[in-house]
Amino acid sequence: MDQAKKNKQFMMRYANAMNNEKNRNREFIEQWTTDQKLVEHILFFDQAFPGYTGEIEEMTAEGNKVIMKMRMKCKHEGYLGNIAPTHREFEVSAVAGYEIDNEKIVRTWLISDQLDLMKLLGLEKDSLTKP
Amino acid sequence: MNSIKRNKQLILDYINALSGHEKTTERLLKYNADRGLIGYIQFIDSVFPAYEVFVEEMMAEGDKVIVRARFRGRHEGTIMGFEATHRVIEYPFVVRYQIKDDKIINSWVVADNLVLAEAVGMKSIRPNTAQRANNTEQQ
Repeated sequence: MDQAKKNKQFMMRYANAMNNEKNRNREFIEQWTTDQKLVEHILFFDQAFPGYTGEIEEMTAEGNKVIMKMRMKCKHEGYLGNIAPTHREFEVSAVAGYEIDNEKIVRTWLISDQLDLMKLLGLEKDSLTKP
Repeated sequence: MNSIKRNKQLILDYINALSGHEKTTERLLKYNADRGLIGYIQFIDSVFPAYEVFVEEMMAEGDKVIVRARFRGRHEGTIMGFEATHRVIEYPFVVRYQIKDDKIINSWVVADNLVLAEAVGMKSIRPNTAQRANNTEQQ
């Protein structure tokens, strides 16, 4: 099996593990990645949207890189920075790129429409929850 | 040249033909049969004339090419209700093209429109992450 196919299978296992884990703590996440930026990102969003999941819509692989388009399913039950929980449920698109070395994610980037996220949370500039 | 290399070259040629130039229908139709994408590009080009695209990463598999890139354009028209600021604006985006017979037939784009909205004049609604710890403690 070529490296790209192996990396795709690895990313499928990673996504399934993340989606099904009830306690996504640092130790669990670090089993999959050495990229501390990714660890902090997951911990931050899991605190704001506990148990959020990512459904893979498309996956492209070449060499040591995999790019995934995902549909993130979230419920806003924790503070998102200074924004108090709205208890809204919503879905947003995100695209993430992963570089994989020896069955570990070593580098990532993520692009999502944060304006869409703010709108789905019902946040207009005048209705931001003050800290 | 195999089809993956050929598709990557097509997308590079397409981006080079458009970046920094007016996105005329004739220029677009040479590479692109996705009418939805053409309409979107021409709208953005009317707001940011002759906008530029800088490719940061490109990958291909099968009949698909995916590009992570940076947009740069001068804000000369109305977008999201904000009139021209004449500022140069940059934001990241990802676009995936599906190619058949040397033409783009399908695509999707994901861009961080919060970066764009703030750049054209929207007051920031970005969460203040510095206050996260205090707020969490208050729960």
